[in-house]
Amino acid sequence: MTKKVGLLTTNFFHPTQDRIIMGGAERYQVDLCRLLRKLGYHVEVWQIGDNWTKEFDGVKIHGVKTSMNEYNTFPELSMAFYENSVSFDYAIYFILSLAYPVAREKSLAISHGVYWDWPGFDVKTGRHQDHQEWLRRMNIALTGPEKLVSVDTNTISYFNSTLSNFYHKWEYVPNYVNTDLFCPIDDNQEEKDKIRILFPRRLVPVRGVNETMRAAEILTSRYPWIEFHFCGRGHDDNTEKLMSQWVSTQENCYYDWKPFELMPQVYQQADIVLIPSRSTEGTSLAALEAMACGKPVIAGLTGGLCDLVLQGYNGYLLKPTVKNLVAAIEELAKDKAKRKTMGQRGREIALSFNKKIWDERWSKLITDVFC
Amino acid sequence: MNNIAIFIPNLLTWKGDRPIIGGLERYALSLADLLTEIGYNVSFHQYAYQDFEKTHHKWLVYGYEADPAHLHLTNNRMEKTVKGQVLYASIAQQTSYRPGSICISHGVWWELPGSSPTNAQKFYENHVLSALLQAQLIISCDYNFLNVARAIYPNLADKKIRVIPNFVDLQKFSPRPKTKSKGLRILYPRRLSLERGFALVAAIIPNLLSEYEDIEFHFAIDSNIPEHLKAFHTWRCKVDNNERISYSHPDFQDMVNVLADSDIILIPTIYSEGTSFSCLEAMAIGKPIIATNVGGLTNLIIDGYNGLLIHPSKESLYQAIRFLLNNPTERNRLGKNALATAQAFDKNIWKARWQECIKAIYTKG
Repeated sequence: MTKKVGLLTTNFFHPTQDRIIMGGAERYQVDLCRLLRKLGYHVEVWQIGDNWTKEFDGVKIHGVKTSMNEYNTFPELSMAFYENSVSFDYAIYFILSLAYPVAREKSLAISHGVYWDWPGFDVKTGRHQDHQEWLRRMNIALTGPEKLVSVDTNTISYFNSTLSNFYHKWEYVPNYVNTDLFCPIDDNQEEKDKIRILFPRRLVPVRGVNETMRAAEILTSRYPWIEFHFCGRGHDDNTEKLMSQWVSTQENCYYDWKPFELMPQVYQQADIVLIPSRSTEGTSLAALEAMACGKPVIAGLTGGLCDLVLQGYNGYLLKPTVKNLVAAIEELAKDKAKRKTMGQRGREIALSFNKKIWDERWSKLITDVFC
Repeated sequence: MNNIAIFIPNLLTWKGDRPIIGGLERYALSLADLLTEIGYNVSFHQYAYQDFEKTHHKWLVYGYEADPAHLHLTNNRMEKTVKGQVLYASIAQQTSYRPGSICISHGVWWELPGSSPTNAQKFYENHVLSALLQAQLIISCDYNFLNVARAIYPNLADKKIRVIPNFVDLQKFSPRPKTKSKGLRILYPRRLSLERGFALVAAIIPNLLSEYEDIEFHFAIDSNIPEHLKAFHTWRCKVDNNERISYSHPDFQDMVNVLADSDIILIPTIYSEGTSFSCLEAMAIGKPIIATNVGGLTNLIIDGYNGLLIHPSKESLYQAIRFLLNNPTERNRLGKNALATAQAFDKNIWKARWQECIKAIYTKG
């Protein structure tokens, strides 16, 4: 008899539109579902939506009608999942807070990184008592699942510093990269006349897009041989339009986004990759992919990036201010030997985050809990 | 005007008769060296059974009579007594700061497993929040503390905290051949206190010693606390095969050789850890390291690249040691990468970055 796993998330598909953006979390979900099916489980997904059922990559996804978001938790959605997945044997809470107020027995919950370290989080739980209420609910959320899986060490450290009762539930399973797909290309081509700086992230403030644009203005006007490539979606059409307008007024700045299949090439063509996150970051897939392609990474000193980048070894960890970005990019852009050394080290480090290792770690966890 | 007073819990013991051995104390001495080098007149101010005034190396150390249950009273007295510029050696000691001061975080220290959320809250509200509001600059020895502080205080952390990872003196610590060559030696180069994970190691030793006949364990430990040492000896006496459990109390100078004579080095911290000197030194000697995914160790070791980064449990530690014992090629590869990554923590980088901060805060105009 095939065992059944229910996975609860908030928004894989947009609840009402057809717009779907395959970001890191979405790719993680698809890969995890594939692994579960490979291990012989039947998987279905629940999320916020207008009572529809859709399918993606051979997995059914059910929309649960709810709009309730209290203190950054989704009690209505979680309760509906608890009831609707009654015939399922095991559960995965794709976001920690979804295990509030009650979690299925034999379940796991996942953290994709700390997302409450952004000043914008203040909008929802800004007042002291609201924040305390959120923390109280998180304490309940962490109680239910048998194991808590974190993609970075920062989440584990935060919870051990605030709700330390769950010390022994945590498992650090860092994110992964397919190092065959993302690989360096032969460097023996002719001398290039331009240095290409790549920003392969969504166009949102937490990812440091504002600071990067200012840095691009300064550096492209200072050096005609530096070019900036912004490669990522905005959270709506308007931000993408604003970016297109901005690049049209800039020398040597380009904007585009590419499907996943073309991303290895995008990294391979870059000389320096920027991951200048200000917060809300796990072990970023973009950082891992850049490293796997043998590129030096300039990263924000935040969340899981500190698990991937050693300052001055395979890149830089810095507070992503305009001044710091300009200085770091300038230094690396002028130093080919350093870019090469850092890139090679990045590639070696990335091999320790090979997807095969991730598959093994998750398989072991699943076998331990789903029994 | 070139005076800087360093407030520190205990550079010397409460009696003032000998130095305390630990990371915080070593850090403070290195910083005093740097300050002296660039022309400051440094003094230390610490807790004591009775007021004292001593000289340690080239610096005056003032002891202030203190009651361990009411340390804040002594802190107040230090604040009143000392005029001028102060550098606070430990954020865990203070709850108030004078304007224009620097304080140092040596890593998140309050995450004792199983302690209550209310208790944790007291720590971060009393210590972290006060520092964020009052000190002019917080130097954090790891990224982990900044990240935890940002997750608790998203609006404040980035304004005040600057990360300067701990360092290793690459002149002193570099690879050298083993002088002892009988079998494989697994080293625990930490203090005996609870948070450093001695109990995890002790629990798995009997099995490993009976499973592998050619291995031995060595404990390079402190003698700070007599009760800890006594417990160690009581434990050691009872273990089978204990002729393969040795120990020493090396001082800083001897540590190089102790590290060089080992084949696998354990940094099995349970909680309260920054960018550990022991870990950095083990890296600089080029040895394979097993560290836990706790505190600043996560900013030094990348699992499977320059060491193994494990969950702090007996089972994980046991499996990790077995893996390395059975895989000499992996030991070699991890050790090599540890040595390579150690270069990024050269003491000179630390000095240069600190010098910038001192200039910005204390040397105005």
